Amino acid sequence: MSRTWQITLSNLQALPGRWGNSLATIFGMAAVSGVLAPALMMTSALEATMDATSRDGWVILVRQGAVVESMSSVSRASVELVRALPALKDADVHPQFVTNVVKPRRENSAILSSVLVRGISARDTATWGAQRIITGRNIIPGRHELLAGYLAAQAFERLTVGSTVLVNGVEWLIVGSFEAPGAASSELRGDLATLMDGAKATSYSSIRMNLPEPVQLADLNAAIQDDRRLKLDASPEEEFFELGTSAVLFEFVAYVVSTIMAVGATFASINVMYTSIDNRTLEIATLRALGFPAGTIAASILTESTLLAIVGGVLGLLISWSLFHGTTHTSGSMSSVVAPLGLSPDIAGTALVWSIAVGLVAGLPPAVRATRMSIAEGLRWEG
Amino acid sequence: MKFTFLILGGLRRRTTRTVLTMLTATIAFFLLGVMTGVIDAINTLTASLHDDRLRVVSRAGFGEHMPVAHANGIRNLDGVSIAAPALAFPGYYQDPGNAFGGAAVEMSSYLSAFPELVLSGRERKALLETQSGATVGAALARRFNWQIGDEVPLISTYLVNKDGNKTWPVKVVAIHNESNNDSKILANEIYVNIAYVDEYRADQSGVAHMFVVGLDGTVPTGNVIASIDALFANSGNETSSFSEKAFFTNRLQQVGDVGAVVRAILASVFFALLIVLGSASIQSVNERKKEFGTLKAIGFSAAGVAGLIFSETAVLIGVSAFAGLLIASISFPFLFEQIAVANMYLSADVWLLGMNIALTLSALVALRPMFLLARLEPAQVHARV
Repeated sequence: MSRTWQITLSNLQALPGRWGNSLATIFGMAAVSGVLAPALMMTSALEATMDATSRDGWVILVRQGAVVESMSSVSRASVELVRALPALKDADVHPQFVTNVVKPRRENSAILSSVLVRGISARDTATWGAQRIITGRNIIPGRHELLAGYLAAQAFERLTVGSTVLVNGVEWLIVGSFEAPGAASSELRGDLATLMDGAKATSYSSIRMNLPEPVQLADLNAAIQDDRRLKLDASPEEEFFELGTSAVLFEFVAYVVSTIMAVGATFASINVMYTSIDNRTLEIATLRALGFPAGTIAASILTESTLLAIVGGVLGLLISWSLFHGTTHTSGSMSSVVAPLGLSPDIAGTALVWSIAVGLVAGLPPAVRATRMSIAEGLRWEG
Repeated sequence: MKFTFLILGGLRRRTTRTVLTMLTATIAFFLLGVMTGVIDAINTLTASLHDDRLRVVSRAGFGEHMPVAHANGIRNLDGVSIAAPALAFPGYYQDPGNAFGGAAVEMSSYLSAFPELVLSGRERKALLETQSGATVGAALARRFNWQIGDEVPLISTYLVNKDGNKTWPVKVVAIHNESNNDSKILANEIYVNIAYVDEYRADQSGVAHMFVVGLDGTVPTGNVIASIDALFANSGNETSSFSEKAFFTNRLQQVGDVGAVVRAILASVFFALLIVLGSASIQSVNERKKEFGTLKAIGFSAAGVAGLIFSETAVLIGVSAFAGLLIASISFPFLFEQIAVANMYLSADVWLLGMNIALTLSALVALRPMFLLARLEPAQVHARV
């Protein structure tokens, strides 16, 4: 083992003399990790946001077939019917109302996106996503006041404290900004009754509830089916909010493109390593003649190839970090979700695993060639 | 002739290196072909959109409902010739993998609003007379193997019928856009009668997601847009009207600036490729200094040797570019069909762009070795022997 190290080390010490050749591996792998890492940053940010949006044990009820809350309506009568379901006699039933405002994005005001405005009742603010006021003050029910999620205020124009927003033709004043888990920070928040009044709405959009201990989702859906007047679908929050994201497709495309790029980087790196052993034919033949085993030589080639790929992978990560870490990504057309981007250790780890894989695969054919080389011919090599 | 021989000889000298370099380049050009192909397809689609047709959606956002009765108000406005209500009707056939896009529409007004929806007179008549009738795009009919007269159960993604499920049996009475010259987007959609959906849906009949508005040209488009939105201001169901082109460009941008992402990815791919090709080329020329010295010694001019180097690089890159773009154009229609957007083929523009890039790359890559060799004195390389 120590001999492998010695050879690898002496090999690497000579590396600066042939940087030109190694650049192909480094930049090839940098391009792969520079595409893979930002793509994973985006999808994991969206997934994390959606995860934080849903709470364990909570269910959401919407009109049958609605896939987003803004496409759903739940009449006041339905809310009373749900409250009266025998299975739910201990449950706390929270109706909510959502509507949309269209806002230009800060990064490019030509892009208009829908921002969700959510009405929740005053007693819900405690249970509803632990809202923390960052600037300004809380809303006072009865007044036309709204809170802006801090990510929404960051991503869209004119949502700062003191701005007015037109919701369904009525002006509302933004009196504070708040932070809450998940997509809530990308929304505007108002008082349920005041907001519905202002929007002249007669039905709610959804019902949220934490199912009381023995009650299962199946029981709830059965109870809803039994009552012909109720045309609602109940689903766990995590399932409902998962539906609304396109992160899965995006991640798939990102992996496909990165894989194709990685194959290209592998071909380029095989070339680099062939050239590297060609340049060292005499050196390798001499070591073999001195009695160093072929495995040791092969290991030193694999190590060189892997290290070069890792240098490239790290370079790609550094570029991704400097460009995207700490920024936000806005997505969604029905209602926007603003997700903060961060280069997590997981993502960095994935990019490094890819680098190691490319390095090992690319090092293999040259390593095999080096071990099969005829010592006698190698010693006569003139370069 | 002697050049061809020399070029091929140079490339064959290290077959492994040439093959690996070409594979790397082929992959880069494949990515270029597919990704710019997607952007190009989006641009082609937007270019085919009409400036003189409007899309009216709810001000609350696309996907929100408006009363169908809005159509009557819009129709009475000056400058409007047609107002066709449409309700989104996405769904699938048998398996969620067999997804389709489409709409439940008021058939007579919708057909007049879309002259590019091509039907025979007999099909048009059957469609207007059959409540559960549907017209299916030719590409979709081929995909699902449907014939005129077939009764097919469509599964809607969100419309619930009176039985409490999402199955909507329809009769295929027309197949539209069968000719290759017809719009490929429409050839992938299904249209059913909104009256049929309204009669059997569980709740909320009489609503639409969109009105397609045809103009008679007597009033400027901007004025019609303003008067439609003014008509429903403060109504509780306010509208946002756009020209068709503005509407779709806006929606595409909402998905994310696909173009910018694609350009960034391709820029990094081709920068890496430039380094790969450059280092392979310098390596190869360094190994052959002696040979180039000999060529110069037997009377090749400096320009001749430079031309040889450039040609060798250009052949290597050109062949790879051709192979990459060829694979891209063969797989492109198939890839696009998978995401069920439209039947698209890689355009000549993408080929032109690819070949331009190949030529530029060849020049950049060959530059450094050409420079090295220009200074090369035949005596210098042979002195050592």
